[in-house]
Amino acid sequence: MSDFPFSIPRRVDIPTIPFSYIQTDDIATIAVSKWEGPDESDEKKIPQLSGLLITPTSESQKVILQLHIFGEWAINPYHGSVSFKRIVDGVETWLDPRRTTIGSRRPCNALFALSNPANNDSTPESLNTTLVDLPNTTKEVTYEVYLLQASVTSANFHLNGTSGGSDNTQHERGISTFTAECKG
Amino acid sequence: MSDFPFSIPRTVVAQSFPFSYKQTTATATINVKKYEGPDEGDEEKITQLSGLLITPALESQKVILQLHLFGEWQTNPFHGSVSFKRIVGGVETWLDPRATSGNRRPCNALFALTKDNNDNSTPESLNTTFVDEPNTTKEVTYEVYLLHGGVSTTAPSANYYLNRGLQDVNAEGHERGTSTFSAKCEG
Repeated sequence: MSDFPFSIPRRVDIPTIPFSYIQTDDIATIAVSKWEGPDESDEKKIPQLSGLLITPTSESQKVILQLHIFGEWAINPYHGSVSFKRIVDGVETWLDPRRTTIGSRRPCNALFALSNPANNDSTPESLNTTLVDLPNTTKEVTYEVYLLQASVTSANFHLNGTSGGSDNTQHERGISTFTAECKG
Repeated sequence: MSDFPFSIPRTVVAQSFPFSYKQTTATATINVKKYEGPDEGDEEKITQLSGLLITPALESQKVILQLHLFGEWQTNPFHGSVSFKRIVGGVETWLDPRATSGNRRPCNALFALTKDNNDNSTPESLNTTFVDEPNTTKEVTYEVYLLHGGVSTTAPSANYYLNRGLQDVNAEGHERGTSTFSAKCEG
């Protein structure tokens, strides 16, 4: 409400919030070695969803990561998982709980939701997750997505498609999305 | 700090980022034909969540869609999926990968099981995020469609029970839920 004799409307534009994303319908088969421990480098990067760049405008800003993955493991999807990695100025930091005391357990940021536990040929799994990161920087931050599995010596993950991949309506094709947004 | 020669009161109108959503606890039974191909019109609209409107402030703005779906397929939930459609100025565009899928069934997202081998009292949930680039400042409409690969190679259709289980008995072993579809502009 104005208090003298007139008021000048003034538009205030809210500063743009940093936002970045990678979205792909690329089809890929990614071979993932069995995870043997945090020093064995068995994590396998998903290149189609990695390299997500964002630059916070203040050190206090949080980065909200959201990931949707569509695809199918060739075997034992309940042994598959995803971990995030942050890179700032060449310093790489895993964002899963391996930094805490979890012993020899497999660190995860998220797991796959099954669509049919008895089928590893034509029923893709989906993975949806959210993570809030505190990079405490105004430098450019890179985020990467990695697959882990602890089932067999090597397991294939079929991104955005099915293991069988047949060209008929019983085999799905999908889209995967990775976003980063600054808040606070 | 005061301006010269005196301070003029100002009405401040903040320009927020466009946001829109639909959320429903309505229950419904939606009959979905077996998907036979992209030209057959077998996709079935979820009317309770469709018609989501948003108007980007800039052509460069992205629209982030988020969907949570609660409900149960009558059979074979692993054959069920969701596709998004965008409508601008009457022009309809599917946002799934059907342009490159061949005869495969195009999807934006799949359902996650809560229990295998039960299709009467254990609803599935579907969660997904999608980024759209409508490249417009016109009003954009988003719709949500169900697809199903079929009960069998000969079955004509499958029912989807929105926000409830198939049996929907009035007892604590049967769930009722909420489904949400949101759109926000970024960038």
